Amino acid sequence: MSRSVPVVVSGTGAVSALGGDVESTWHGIVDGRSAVRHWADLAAEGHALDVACRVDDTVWGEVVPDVRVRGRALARRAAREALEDAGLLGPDGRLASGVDPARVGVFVGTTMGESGVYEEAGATGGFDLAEGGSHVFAASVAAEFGIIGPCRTLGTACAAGNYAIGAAARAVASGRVDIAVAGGVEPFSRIAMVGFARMRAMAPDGCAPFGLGRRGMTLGEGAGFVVLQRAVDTWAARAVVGGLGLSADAHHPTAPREDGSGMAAAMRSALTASDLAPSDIGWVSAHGTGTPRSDAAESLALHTVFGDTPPPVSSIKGALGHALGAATALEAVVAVRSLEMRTLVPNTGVTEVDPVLDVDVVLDARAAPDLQWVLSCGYAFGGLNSALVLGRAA
Amino acid sequence: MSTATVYSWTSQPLDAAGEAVASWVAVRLGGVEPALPAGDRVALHVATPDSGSREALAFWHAAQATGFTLAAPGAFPWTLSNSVTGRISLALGVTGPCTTWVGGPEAATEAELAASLDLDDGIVDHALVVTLAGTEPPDAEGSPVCVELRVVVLTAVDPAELAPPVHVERG
Repeated sequence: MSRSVPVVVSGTGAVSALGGDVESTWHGIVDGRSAVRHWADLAAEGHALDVACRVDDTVWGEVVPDVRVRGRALARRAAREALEDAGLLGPDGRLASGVDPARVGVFVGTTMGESGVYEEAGATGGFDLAEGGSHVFAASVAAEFGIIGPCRTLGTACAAGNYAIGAAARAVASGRVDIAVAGGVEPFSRIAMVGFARMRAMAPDGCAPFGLGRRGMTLGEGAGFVVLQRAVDTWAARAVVGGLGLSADAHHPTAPREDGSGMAAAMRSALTASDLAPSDIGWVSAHGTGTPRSDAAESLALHTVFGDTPPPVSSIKGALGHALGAATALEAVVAVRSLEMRTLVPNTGVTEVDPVLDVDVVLDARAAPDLQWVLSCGYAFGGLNSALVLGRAA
Repeated sequence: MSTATVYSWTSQPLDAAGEAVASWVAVRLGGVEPALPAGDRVALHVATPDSGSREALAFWHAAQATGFTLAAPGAFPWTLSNSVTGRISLALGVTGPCTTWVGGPEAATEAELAASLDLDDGIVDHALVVTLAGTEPPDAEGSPVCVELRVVVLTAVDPAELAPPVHVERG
């Protein structure tokens, strides 16, 4: 996926369980806070576990979105912040007058779609794919800002944000669009809460990525978006978009290859597409779900690609939970901020790193004055692997 | 440049709860003769408006009936749109880029475009473009479904190796 036309991130936006924008999310993560908490409504509904990372109602102000449109509200909010950050919105909140709406695209990744619509279908006896399907998020973002270029949805589960950003970067680099709004969104999903709990993939007291005695993931929610433009078209570059490496395990519906070879293939592909050597990477924003198998496989993949001393590694899932389709998009936003602030964020939720993994896990925020390139990794059910390179803007 | 080969099927009604749809797709594609290409130089791009939707509705319907603590864990992964993509990659041994595009005709167009770009960029030598859709819209119970399946196999061709154009003179 090598590109001769440089593409940059010109804006970022986020809504997470730690806050309703990039700044609050960033500061929460850097300060080592975790959004993990117990939820009385989940316990009352009969869920086996009541621990999750959810976007607090206070984020919304007076009007909390209905569960049937929650994902769309998350997507629009994060996309608005990203577009404002890039200076592309006019005073009416739509695309600025100088922006051709036909030359703007929307690329969104997600896992469960508008889960509330599925969950209420049983009660109402009706289900409308036009209201609940995964495509509604991209359509909602496009409608909100008057975008009429390509509007695309990637249903690539827990790595969907990376896939969306990579597809968007391709569209921008090729000249198919001038501007792309790209990211991922996931409203809190009770279906996922039940599914992951029954698969015994969840930690009862919060996830501890790469930690000794880690027991699983914590479900999250949120949205992360970036605005991508060709470097020559903007003065507002926050980061450079490198290559996206993709691979498939062809191994198991849910479990990764234990030797991490599929993950390593994606990492290597990303480096090749970016014309980088492993030694160029200064930090790995890991998938790091906190499940014993996935973290172990990811650690092996890091050793396969980087040798005996992989770069420092952090997962932000101990802070935000696993926001499924939004996860890698939020991680991309945080990686952009890390490059700008030259700071490696902590791997919250862990006090003792599993020594068997033999990786340099960042336990406290760490200054990184020479940080130039970040590798942001995400993997998904179905054996999908992704790794996205992001670099410091010139 | 690339060449294209097309295959298509329509299923009998399949149980939406679990992996029946994904398995049917995998069996059909796995049975193609000669075998579809495999390995890390092959990409798989799936386009679907509704993959995982019926499975999600069926999973939730059953979980509410049994209680959440007794929900069927094996059925959950198939509620994801890309579960069928993973099942195909497993059946065929495709380990290159695999994506799932969700939506109407635009998703299929995007899958074809992504496949063409993968070939043009030299990332892969072959790309499979699979389109998959139920013949009826999903309902609240996740009822059985017939699905239509189509696969286009794109293979990179070196323009220099193509036969020269034949000029026909009209008299």
